[in-house]
Amino acid sequence: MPGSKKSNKGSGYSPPGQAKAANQEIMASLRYAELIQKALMPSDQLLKRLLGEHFIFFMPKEVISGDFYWVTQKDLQTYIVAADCTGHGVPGALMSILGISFLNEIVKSGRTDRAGRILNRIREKIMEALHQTGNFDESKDGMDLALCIINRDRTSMQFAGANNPVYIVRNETLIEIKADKMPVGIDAMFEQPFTAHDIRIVKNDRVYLFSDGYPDQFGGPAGKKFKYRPFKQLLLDIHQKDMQEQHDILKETMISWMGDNEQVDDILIMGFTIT
Amino acid sequence: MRLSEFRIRNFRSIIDSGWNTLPADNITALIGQNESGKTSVLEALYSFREGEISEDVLRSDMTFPEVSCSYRIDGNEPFDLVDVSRLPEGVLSSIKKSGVLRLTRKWLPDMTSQIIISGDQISEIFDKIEKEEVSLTEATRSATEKILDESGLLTDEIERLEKSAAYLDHEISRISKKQSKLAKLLKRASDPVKQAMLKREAEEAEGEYGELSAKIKAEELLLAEKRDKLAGNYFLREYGVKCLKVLEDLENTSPRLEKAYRELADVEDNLALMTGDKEIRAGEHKLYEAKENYIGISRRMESLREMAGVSVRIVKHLAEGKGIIEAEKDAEKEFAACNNLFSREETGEAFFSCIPRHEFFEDFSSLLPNRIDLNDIFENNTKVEGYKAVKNFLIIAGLDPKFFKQTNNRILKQKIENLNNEVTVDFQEYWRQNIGNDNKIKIHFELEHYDISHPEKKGRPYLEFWIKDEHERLYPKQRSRGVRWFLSFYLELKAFAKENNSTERLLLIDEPGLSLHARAQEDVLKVFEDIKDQVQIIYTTHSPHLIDHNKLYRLLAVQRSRQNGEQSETLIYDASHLHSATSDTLSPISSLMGTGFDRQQFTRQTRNVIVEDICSFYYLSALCKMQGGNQGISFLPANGPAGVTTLVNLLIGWGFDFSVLLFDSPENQDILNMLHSQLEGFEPGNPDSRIILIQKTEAPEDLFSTLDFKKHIIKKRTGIAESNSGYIRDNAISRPLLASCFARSAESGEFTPASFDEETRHNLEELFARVGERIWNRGETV
Repeated sequence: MPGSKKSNKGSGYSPPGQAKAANQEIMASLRYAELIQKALMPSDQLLKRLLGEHFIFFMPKEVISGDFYWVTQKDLQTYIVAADCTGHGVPGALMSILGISFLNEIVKSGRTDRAGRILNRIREKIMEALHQTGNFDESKDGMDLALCIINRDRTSMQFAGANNPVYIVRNETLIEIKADKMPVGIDAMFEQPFTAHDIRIVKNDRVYLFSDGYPDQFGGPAGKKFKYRPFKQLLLDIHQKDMQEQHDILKETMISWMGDNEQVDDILIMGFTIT
Repeated sequence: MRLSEFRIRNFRSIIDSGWNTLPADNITALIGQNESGKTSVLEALYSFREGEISEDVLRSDMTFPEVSCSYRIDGNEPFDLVDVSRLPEGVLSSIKKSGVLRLTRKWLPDMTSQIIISGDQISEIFDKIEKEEVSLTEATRSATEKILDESGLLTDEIERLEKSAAYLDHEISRISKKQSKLAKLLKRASDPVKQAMLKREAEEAEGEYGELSAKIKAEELLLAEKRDKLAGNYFLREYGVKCLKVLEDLENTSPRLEKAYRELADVEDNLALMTGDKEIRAGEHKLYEAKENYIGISRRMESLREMAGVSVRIVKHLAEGKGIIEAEKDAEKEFAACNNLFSREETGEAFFSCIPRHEFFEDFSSLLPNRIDLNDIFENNTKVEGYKAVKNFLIIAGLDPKFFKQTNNRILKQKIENLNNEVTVDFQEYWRQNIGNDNKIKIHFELEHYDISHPEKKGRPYLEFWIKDEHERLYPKQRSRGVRWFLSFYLELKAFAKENNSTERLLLIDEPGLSLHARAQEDVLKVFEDIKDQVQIIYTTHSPHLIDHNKLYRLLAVQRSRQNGEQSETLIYDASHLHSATSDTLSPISSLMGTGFDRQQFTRQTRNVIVEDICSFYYLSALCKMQGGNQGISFLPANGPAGVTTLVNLLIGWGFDFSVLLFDSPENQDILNMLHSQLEGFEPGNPDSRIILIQKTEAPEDLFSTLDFKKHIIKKRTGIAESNSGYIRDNAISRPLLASCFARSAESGEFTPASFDEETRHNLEELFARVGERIWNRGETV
């Protein structure tokens, strides 16, 4: 088999049986890790209860993912997060576990309900956990993240973003709330506070949170990125459809766009309707 | 160039101070109790520059002192006094790159000392050079031993070949004779049988002759080859042997030199104890002999060192295959270049000439006396009272001591009269307190001679001083100690400026303005502030008036370790570790909190807000002012939470209005309960009206968002997942230092409310709204 021949080159010969067994063992570990990662993310039941009509288009590049989504409710406010950790696969998944655990800790402690401050605190925790002090030789891992907090009467929403914006489609218009241009984690500049945007929301607003996996995917006839403008247009085109249908269109569009190209990053899009 | 760090080892009670960092703004205060070792620190720094120590600084374990000083340079320092061409490669660039010049003075058993340049990178350079020299010597030894072994083998082989050749020669000659004999017999023989036999024998001899000839030829070739080889090794062998001999001589001479030095020292010591003339003469003769011996061995040692240095290099080049002429030339050139380089000690000495002068200013020697004997000036008797002050005065007046040897008394008197009108001290420059209306004084001096009332000194000259202002003329000691101290300090600064205008200077001052009035001590501090750009100052003090409460980073706390009783060592804590010092050591700071009351208008009738400690005071005062003026609020710091109730009692007793602001820490719960009972008695039914509890905030530092805390307080990028106060606690950071630095920065206008993020602004607005509300509720408007 050409593949097996190639894999033996340079790293010494491994009997085919042994390599196969090792591969199976790694895959079994990854499958189990996938289960753990899924368990840490909200269940369909919880998503349904807190978001109502919604969809999650979640397409990891590998078995486990650096993208994750998270929702919770505290003091009748709904917290929604779509995040994209540096890397994908195992390293991305490890960061995602850190992110989920910090989100749980910070939001559930009730020390603050301001979206910007929550991101500030997650950043501190990541910097502390990864011993990030701004030196050139240390880990630069972190995450891009969009956080929405919907108030109890669902008339306003707070948003804070680390590189990832939020889109709201209302009356055939897509409103983009821009994110701060910095990650949750160490950056070149001294830490700046994340901005909390207070946004008025109305019934039937469609809100979309996402990672950059979808717009950054290569494909199409020229093998180029999907890009944000077509992504926005696609959301505008489909926003009036029901959520499951939107999910299916997004998925089909992406699969057709990708064609034979390799998936470059994890893909995550969350959509929900304000009711 | 300024002293930025120091480390003192084995100096009086100091075993190892560790590296202590001095503040960048040139003023350092050493605080600590009596006998803690503050003055030792000054003396050590002074001795570092002067090189002299007395035996009483030695520790009982007879370890010898070592003082290291690091000087911060600006990278463009010219180092004019250093012959940079003699510095090993990399030394100057390393110093310039690091921006630090580090020198260490080590004292030796004979109380002399040496200065070496230190620092990791510099040491590496010198270690490398020394290692190269050692490996060169080792390489010479092994090359010589190898060549000697090879030569031995060659000689043996040549001897064997020569013997073999002699034997073969002999054999050839024997066969040759045999051949002649056989030829004769063959000629004579007629019997065909005999003829045939002789012919066979002749043929055999011919064959044998041929074989031997070939063998001889082969061995001769081999012999010639061996001889050539031996001859080719000649110079390497000869120089190798010579070099080993020199190295051996050098090794043997080193202990002889040490012995000669010890003998010389012993003879000197013995001579000092001799009394009789004859004994002294004999002693002097011995001293002469010992000196000659020492000098002779020194010279021999120097010459051997040079010979060894050249020889090892010649051997190296010969071993590389160079010819003798080229090897000698290259070796001499290399040795000259290497010998020209400064050693570690010489480099230290060279840079030492560039560092600032360390001057000691102390009350006894530096305060102007009423009179001083001129003989003490002529003989440089530094131990006499006021010596230094008088020397300073003479420098300012432009007088050389020889001036007083003028025999014409009239000329002398006239010159002194002229000078007396010129040497005026303008106290306005340094001292805010008024001497007279115009704050100017004159120093008058006169040359007098002792009369009969001092029979032991009768006729000897002395100088007498007066300090004269617009009202009166008094002896220095008749003036207040404050005037005397300032005057003498002025003389010190002026004299130095006149003598060494371009030299940088570190002034070490022991207890400046001791026993001065508090206001005068604050003036001392102002003088330091005024001159700190020209003169770096390190002073010791017990006085809170000599500490700037906004600049606690200038403090070094000196104290004795407690565990070993009287044998305890001196420990030094820099500003970031003040929390480790004992409360006794820090008493000037505690007192400072008290002295600050006056400046904070403690006697205000209303709007007093008691806070639990100096940190709360620093933060809240600064923030309150920043939030839009101080609104007439006076924050009063208690000496820790336990001191809050004491202050409350005090204000109740004085009949002043007050509130108490407490943070929501577990330790404050008890204080809160005590306050409730205390205020219930004072204002029954409404004790809470005076308490402002900042809930969910453990300390003033927690008023800041984590980002602002990092940016404006600790000024460091690090992840802080806990509360700010928790971070300070867990990392053992000095709270008062952070707080005072923040207050100072705020005072200088570094921050405005806009400097903080929304979280901090929100916290502060809420806090000050609550403070205002509490005061307003009691009928006050903020």
